[in-house]
Amino acid sequence: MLESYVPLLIFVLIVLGLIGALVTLSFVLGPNKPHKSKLAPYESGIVTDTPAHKRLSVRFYLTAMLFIIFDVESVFFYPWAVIMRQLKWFGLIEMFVFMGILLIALAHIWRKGGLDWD
Amino acid sequence: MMPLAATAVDLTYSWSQALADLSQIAPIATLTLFLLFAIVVDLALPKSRRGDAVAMVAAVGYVLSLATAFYRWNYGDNGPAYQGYATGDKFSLFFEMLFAVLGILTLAVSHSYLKRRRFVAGEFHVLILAAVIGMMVLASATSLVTAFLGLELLSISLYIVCGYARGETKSQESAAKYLLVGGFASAFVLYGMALVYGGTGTTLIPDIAKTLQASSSSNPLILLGIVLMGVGFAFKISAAPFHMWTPDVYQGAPIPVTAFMSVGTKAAGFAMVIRIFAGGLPHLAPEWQVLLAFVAATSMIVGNLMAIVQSSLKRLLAYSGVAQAGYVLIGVIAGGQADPAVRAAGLASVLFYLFVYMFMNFGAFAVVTALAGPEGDRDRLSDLEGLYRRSPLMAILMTVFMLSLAGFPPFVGFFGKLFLFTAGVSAGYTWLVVVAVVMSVVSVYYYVRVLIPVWSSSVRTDKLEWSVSSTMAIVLSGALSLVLGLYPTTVLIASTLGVPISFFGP
Amino acid sequence: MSIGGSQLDASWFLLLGAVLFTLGAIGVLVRRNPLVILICIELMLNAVNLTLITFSRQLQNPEGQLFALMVMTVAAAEAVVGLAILVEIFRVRDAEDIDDLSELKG
Repeated sequence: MLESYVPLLIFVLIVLGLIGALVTLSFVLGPNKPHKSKLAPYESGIVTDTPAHKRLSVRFYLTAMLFIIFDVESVFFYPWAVIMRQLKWFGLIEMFVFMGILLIALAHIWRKGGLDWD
Repeated sequence: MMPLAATAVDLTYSWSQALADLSQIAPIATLTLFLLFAIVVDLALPKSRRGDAVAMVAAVGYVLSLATAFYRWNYGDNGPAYQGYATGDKFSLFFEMLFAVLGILTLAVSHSYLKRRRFVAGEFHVLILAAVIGMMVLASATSLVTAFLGLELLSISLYIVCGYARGETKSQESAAKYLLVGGFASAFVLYGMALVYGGTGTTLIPDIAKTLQASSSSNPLILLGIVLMGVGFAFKISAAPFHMWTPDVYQGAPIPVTAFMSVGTKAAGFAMVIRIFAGGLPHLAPEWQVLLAFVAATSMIVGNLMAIVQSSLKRLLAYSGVAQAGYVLIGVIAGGQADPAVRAAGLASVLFYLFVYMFMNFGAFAVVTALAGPEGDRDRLSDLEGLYRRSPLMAILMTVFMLSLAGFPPFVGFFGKLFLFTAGVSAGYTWLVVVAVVMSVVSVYYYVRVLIPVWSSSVRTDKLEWSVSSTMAIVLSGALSLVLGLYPTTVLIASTLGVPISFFGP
Repeated sequence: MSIGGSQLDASWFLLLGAVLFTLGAIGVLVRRNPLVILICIELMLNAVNLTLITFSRQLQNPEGQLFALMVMTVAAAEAVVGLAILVEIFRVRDAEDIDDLSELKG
């Protein structure tokens, strides 16, 4: 029973070995000549004058999160759109149900003030 | 570009088919409808009335869902739906009823708790509804895709409610830990599912079983898939050595959430383990039995030994939950045996234990809710001091829960363990059962240790108050922990549980 | 399977998926910053997506793509909830490391 795990073990070893080799190789072979300006964070070639750990308003996160969630939901429209005609009326109504659920979510966010910038 | 589907899929979907599919998942559909309704109610009403109204909607939803599941159990034409992606068989109906009852219990306990802690009630109930729906989806999933969706719906809702005490750092920390560990575990489950899909060419669990039956050689892809899924499931059911998150998360989360998830995620996780391992991979049973036996043994040992040194009731019950997961795994292992009688006994014992575990464990947590003040939960063992003076009824009930969890006859926990251990012995895993029995004896120590402060005198003699709804929930749990352990009902329930597992075939 | 005229074996994609998944898992175990851990979890999920789509292509079976779509949405939901929880923590205190998340002990 256990010997059937051997190919598996080999697979795991290959994966670990590959990762180890890549990391070690880049560490060993890569030239390492530290310099003050080299160690500084790279920001499009402009010298940084403020710390990178700057707090952004939480509003940015909130808006971005809400955008992501609704943006990704739209992924389900693509497979539906491909076979929309074959699904006939049922598919259309089903999609309206899906959109209805999303609309309830949107209404919830709106009402709770998730869309207010200030 | 090649066509994706080698065999053309029939895309026509008639209205009658839609109705038939929907009726198979009627309990889930009912609850989903009420979830949406609860969100709308939460929006439409003025702030002061939202909490009560949403709780009312949720209560009606749970009761209707329970009634639908009960009706379908007795009269329904139960079978696969949505081209095999979900099912309305009795196995799923059993869990749907269990989760609906759990939802009602949680609602009853959390309602007054939320008021006392001054939390926003509406969204809490909505999130618990979503988690219950996720559990139900998980129980009725017959495809890896559906199972994953259910698992994530359940987990993501719980991440949020764990951090529901917003200002409290403990609660935030609990949410963050649960999120990171839960996401990690989900990724493992998912990769395992992907490999099983790659090895068998289908995500439908019955088809996986058929494919594996046809091929005699063991595919390393599928084996790796089983190992990865096993690790992920062990995280989800909080079995050792993947249990480290459990005490931290349980301790930080608000008590009703802890009570809910300690029972709910465990039952849902086991539903998935049984469905996928016993239902989909019975031909590789020796492979996953070894894995689960190791997990079961470590869970029982680590859980019971760690529980001894805890001073917080939440942490103690968390470790006790780890140990209990180990006991239940014995039944799952027996459920992988080829002999139909042993398999049936094993799976039935799992269902029985999960059913009774809900009442014992939920009740134990629910008693502690009343100790919570506006500033936070009080769950240290010393907080229980003098409980028998402050509320004699609760002291008696707490004793029932603890003795039942410890497995004393005539309480139901004894019979639960008896069935599990008998199944384990008949499956040939005697060494595992020996470990389980020894560790059960150890567990008596810490369960009784909880009872010492309960029955000792204390300077505090002020009466404790439980709201009517939570008293009813606790009394119901206590009564069932006692009544279900009496001979005729135990046998009746146990024989009824033979029905849901019949789908695994002879 | 021919892509761009040259033969490319599906197992390379599977190996890439495995490497990405393992890198993500190592990242979760090694890194201490909760945000980075969350990113590593997302990496793991996307490694699974790659695996699923490779299998889907190899098996000529659309189920894998369906699965990958579901995983994408779920991953987004998880990321959003995760970010919300972490932002909430960072708002209250300056815990940059998960090491600092150690109030719960027993």
